[in-house]
Amino acid sequence: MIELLDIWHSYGNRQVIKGISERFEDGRVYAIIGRNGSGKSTLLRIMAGLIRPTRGVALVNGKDIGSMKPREAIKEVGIVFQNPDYQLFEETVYREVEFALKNLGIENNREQMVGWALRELGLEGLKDRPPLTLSGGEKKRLTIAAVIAWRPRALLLDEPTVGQDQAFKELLMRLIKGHAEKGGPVIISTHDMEFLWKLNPNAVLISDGVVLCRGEFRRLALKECFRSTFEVLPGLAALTRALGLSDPLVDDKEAVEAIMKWR
Amino acid sequence: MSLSLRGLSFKYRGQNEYALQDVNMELPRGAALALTGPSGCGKSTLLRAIVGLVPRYYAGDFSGTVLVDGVPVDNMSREDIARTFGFVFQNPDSQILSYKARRDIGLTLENLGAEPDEIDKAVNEIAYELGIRDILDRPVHELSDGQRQLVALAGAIVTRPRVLILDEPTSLLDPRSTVAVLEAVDRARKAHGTTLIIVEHRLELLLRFVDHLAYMDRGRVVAFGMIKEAARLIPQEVLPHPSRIGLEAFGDAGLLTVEDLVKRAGGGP
Repeated sequence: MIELLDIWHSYGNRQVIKGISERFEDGRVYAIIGRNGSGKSTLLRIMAGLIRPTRGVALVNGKDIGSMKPREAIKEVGIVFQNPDYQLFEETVYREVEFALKNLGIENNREQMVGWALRELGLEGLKDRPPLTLSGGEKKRLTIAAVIAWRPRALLLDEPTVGQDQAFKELLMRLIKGHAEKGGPVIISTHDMEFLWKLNPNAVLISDGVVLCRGEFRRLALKECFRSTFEVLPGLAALTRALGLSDPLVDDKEAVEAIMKWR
Repeated sequence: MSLSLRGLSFKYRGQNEYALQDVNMELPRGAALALTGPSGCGKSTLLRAIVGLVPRYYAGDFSGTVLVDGVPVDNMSREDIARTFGFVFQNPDSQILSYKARRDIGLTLENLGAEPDEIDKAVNEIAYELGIRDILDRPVHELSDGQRQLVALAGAIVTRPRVLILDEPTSLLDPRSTVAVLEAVDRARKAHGTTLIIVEHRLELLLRFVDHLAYMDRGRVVAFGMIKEAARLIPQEVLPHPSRIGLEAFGDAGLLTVEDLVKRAGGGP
């Protein structure tokens, strides 16, 4: 479990987080949403212990992540950054995934763990390629593989669907749910609202450094706080509203049925 | 400007498979193309080939020709290329070089020899259009990834290029900024007759701003044409929800918005 207790953070004299308290339970999937520059990535970095908040504390299973040794902290919380180029530096895809395992001193089953992570992300066929020759989407998949390989309890993903096609998004959705079932919370920050509509996580909408509203994503997307923040609704949310329905249309099938009935 | 791609093929050095295989396309002046396809299918390579980065800066086997208004890109000087094309890479950090956003946006104009007050005016205008006036004087490294994406985009549009090429320009933007960016690009395109190519995986917000659609798979263009015709030839799961729902509910209904769906369902005029 990750708990944020009255987190404040500023860069120079620019206040980006202004008192956020939030609890992320084990076994559940969360999304942090908000406009560009609203502090989402900063919040994830605080949860991973990479940034010390100006005020407040981030607890991981009751312990201040800021006081943990890096080696201890990354076993608890794994983070995948938005920009894959920040975390790729090995000569091959295989070695990139192996890197952290070596650093963590994992000797037993290392090969199996790397193999598993590559398979999970559909990268087996690329294992001998230099990471810098991969496409943008493939790089992103590699950074996810390199983090899940050591199976951190909590998993933080910053914009995991950038550059990804539909097939991969399905795979990612299974991976996210699978990880949450076995371990700590999975927390995603993304603007990919269609992806979130399908995944339907617990969503926290932040705006100007504070939590504006929270709830199950599909319900939240029908609320005024969502509309006033983003102005644009996910396709099925717009249709739900346009048809005057109170329950969200979950998928295309439900939407087709609703339209036929409405005619 | 019109853009012709004739038989483009490319294999990166050391790779076994071709990243591009015999790509042919004709885009009239002012056309707007959405280019999509699975990740790793060659979209970014194609963009690099159009502006001549492939094969100039990427080693490998290249064949084919890119013509801009009938002139081969191979024969153009770097300055001509800089004046003709605006290019936004997937990763904004590959093209942001300055300390402050304002300087960075004006950099290409500066390199092309524009006067300082001319640069200032153009930068202010574009910042207003993209809604980023408040970050102009902030150091670039303090900006979020999405904000840096907007800075890179502003830097590409500010030169008023005749061909604008955007590689997932809105992937890091929230929905509201995405629409603002697409509207700004659309205005610039219509005002200046710019030919536009946008690579995108998420078509739901993009389709109303383009008139052509192409789908690539394993280095080949498997569907290309005016948007309605091409949409029938691409995998349905790539299309946005309203289009798929329309197809299911009303048969072959082409591309629909939520408003269209509701109108159709209500059997309006």
